[in-house]
Amino acid sequence: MEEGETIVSAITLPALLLSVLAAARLTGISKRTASIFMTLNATIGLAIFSALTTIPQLSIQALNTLNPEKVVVIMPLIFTFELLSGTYFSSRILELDYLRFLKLTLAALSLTLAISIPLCLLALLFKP
Amino acid sequence: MAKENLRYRIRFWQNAAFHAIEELNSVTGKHVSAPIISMRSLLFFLLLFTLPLLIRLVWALLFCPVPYLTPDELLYPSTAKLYIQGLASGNFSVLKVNAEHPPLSKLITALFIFLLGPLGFSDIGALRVQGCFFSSLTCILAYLIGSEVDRRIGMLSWFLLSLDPVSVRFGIASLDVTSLFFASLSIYMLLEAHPHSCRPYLLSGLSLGLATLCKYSAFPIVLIAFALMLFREKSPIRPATQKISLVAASSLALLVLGNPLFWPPQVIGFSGYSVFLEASSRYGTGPEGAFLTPLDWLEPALKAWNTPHALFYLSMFGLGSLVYPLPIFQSSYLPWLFLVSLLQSARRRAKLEGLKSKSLLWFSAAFLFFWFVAKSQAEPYYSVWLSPPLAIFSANSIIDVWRKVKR
Repeated sequence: MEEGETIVSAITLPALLLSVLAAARLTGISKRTASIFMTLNATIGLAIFSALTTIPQLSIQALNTLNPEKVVVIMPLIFTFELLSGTYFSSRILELDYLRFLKLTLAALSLTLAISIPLCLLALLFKP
Repeated sequence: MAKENLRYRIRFWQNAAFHAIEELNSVTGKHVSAPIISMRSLLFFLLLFTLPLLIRLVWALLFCPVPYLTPDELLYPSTAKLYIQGLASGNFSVLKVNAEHPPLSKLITALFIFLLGPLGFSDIGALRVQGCFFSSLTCILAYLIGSEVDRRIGMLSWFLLSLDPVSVRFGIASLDVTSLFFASLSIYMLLEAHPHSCRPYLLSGLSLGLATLCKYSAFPIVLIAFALMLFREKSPIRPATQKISLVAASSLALLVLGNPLFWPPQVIGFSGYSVFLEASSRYGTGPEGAFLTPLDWLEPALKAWNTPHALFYLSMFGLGSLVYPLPIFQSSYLPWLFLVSLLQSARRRAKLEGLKSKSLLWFSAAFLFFWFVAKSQAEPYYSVWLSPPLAIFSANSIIDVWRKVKR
């Protein structure tokens, strides 16, 4: 594995972990609860959308054949669906407050973007 | 305290047959002499093993096209024989072949070829029997894990996993299935572990080491699952870190000892680690070589920002990160049962605890691992990794609902 090609993952993953912990602190939620919640949030959101891909119009093959412009347009819709459904069901399962944990999710994602975008740009700029 | 300790020790060290003796005693409520119970439990476990094995063998040997999983089915038997020939003569350079995967599963394949070859099995046939054998053993582990809470959960977990189309169809994916067996054994030991004893964690680590010696994916999946379970249990940080470290250290020690590629170059005559890195980099996808996660599509998108290619790279990033790469809902009933159980729990606000919570976290660890590191074209047989926790979770939920209905 050439290190330069995995630079975004190398920056974003630790940034996400740190952001979850920081957002948990900011929103007054325990770090453990926040970690478990984020894990279940991602799992359930992805699983529900994965179930929807059994519908022929939303199948993986159909999505793969869309032209890139359309994919870029529907990306935010899919993301919002996964985020909201994942947050709703995981907060219900863990008996937590939906809105408070939605805030946690949004704060963690915003922090991840704020940390990783400048770092990725810097890393790519100075990459030999 | 001493009684509890003794009880734990007996519980941990007893083998699967002894475990069944206890269960049979509790079910029948009779005191039956040990040899009779041993025979009964042996028959019981033989049945638990034979039924899934038969289903898998019928598919693998009668209906499955030859070859089915290419190039793996063509590659692994020949590599297995090459390893045995090389290692028998002290020639470690044979390990350069298929160095991206660890050697244990291929050595087990060689054993199966050696045992079944004289009986008329082809190399691919022997490889498939190996997969079916370990897949069936994993069904027994699902039973044992489920039985920790309730024997009915164990039986239903076993039943669901035995008939799971993904586990049957891809029971021939020898590397994954063999590794999954040892990984499930490691999880079973962790679930059984007494919090104040080190031994089960050490043994679990060794089992994880064996799983990692079959396929490297086992290591992160089991460790992440274990860490999440400890988080959920709200274990104090220090003991939790010690337990995770013990499991990780013992498995890594076994991995290094068992895979000559990680031995010093002075011993094997070449840098095994460089060979491993070079072989692994062949798995790269994308325009410039290796990509670890879907996030890495962002790099070429940023580089080609003012060109039409940027949209393509962005779309790859979007599809890779938002769409689960394995078609799990198309290939089995287990994900549907899981999803319905999960939504039902959410609707009823049912408290998620015990085995249900642990199996959900085990599933999450495997599910997110394959989402995150799957190459742009994930192999469908990776789905076998998701089946045991799915079966256990679904069985637990079904029994819960049944109990409520009965009340």
